[in-house]
Amino acid sequence: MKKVFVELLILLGIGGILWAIFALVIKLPERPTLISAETEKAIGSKMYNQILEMNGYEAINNQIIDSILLATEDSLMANLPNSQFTYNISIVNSETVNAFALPGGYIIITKKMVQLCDTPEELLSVICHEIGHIEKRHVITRLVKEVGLKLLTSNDSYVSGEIARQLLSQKFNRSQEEEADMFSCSLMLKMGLEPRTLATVFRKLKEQNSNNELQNFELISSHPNLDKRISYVLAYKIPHNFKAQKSSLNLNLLKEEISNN
Amino acid sequence: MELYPIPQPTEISEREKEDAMGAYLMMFASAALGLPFPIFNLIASVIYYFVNKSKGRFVQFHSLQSLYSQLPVSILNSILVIWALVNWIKNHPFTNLFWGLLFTAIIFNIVYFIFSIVGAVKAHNGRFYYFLFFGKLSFIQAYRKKDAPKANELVNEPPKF
Repeated sequence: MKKVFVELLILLGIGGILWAIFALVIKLPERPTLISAETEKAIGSKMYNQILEMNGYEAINNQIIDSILLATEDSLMANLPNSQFTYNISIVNSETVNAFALPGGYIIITKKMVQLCDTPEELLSVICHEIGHIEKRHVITRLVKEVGLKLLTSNDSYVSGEIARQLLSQKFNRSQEEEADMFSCSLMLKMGLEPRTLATVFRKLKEQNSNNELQNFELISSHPNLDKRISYVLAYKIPHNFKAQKSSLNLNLLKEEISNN
Repeated sequence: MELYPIPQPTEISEREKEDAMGAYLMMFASAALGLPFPIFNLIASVIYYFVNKSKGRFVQFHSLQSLYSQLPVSILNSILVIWALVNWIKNHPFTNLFWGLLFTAIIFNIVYFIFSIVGAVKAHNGRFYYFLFFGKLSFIQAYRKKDAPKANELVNEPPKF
């Protein structure tokens, strides 16, 4: 009888060892979607133009702005070696404070959002938060759930226009926002910048929000309240010997250029 | 432990051989239902066992072996289905632990499938085939003499001539 249970232990051992080996060896996406990164990029590219058109936004660009944004994208990409996306940041001429992520690596930031930031780290923490939504595939997963794969890949311009509208009204849930906040902290830390800067941005948004100016702002309109988010961002653990550096992004020049445009 | 004598292939009727084989083939019949809800395979096996257990120890052994060996695979598959559903609904990440368990379950399912086919063929030929652990457990349950004296029990014996 003892031998029978020895065999059971062998069986459980084989199962446990296999689980451990596979868990260590197999690398699969944390957010498997039915859409490949390539298709997501194509959807994002189509939506990008529609969203600008729908909101009457115009991308602000000149050689200086482009070179600042390109350098920012490069430094972000250098810290995202496993990313499937190439990030494309745009600043648009809107007088409302807003920033949002589109599928496939497109990030739109309004002029007013840039002006709200007093340091380059503040702007980068917002960009990192939006990257978090894209990397964790929150945007595309939600669209697939709400709209369905067939409509999402449709070439009909009316359909894609409606989907773009839906994207704008899309709100992330509590865990998605927290995940994007934590992603921002960890990416900022990787870049050698103060990871808790997002808390400063939240405080400023809270001050603005008290004037009811930010009703539809994705960054703050979803479940977790700002106080709670400020406290968990502030509680983010940083290594003992970590010394925050200053970002090379020239925010003053960027602000000056977008004001002149 | 006292056991009933083990029957030889020639002593087992064709009907018993077919019923014993049927225990393994049950999984194919319930596979369609079992894919979304793996627990259906198990329910089908339990029913098969209770319907056929009175048809002789040979059938009982193979039904038990099929039922017991299905337990870990069904439990593993059910855990994975529930885990995936929770992740999908709550938008939790599919961690390496999940993928590791999924691949382990795939291996266990393949091994279970191969062993079941071999078990079915052997049962059809009136043979015994013992899976690791489950084979011995089923054999003990089917062939152990339940009214046999226990090891520490005093037993009267005739004089030795």
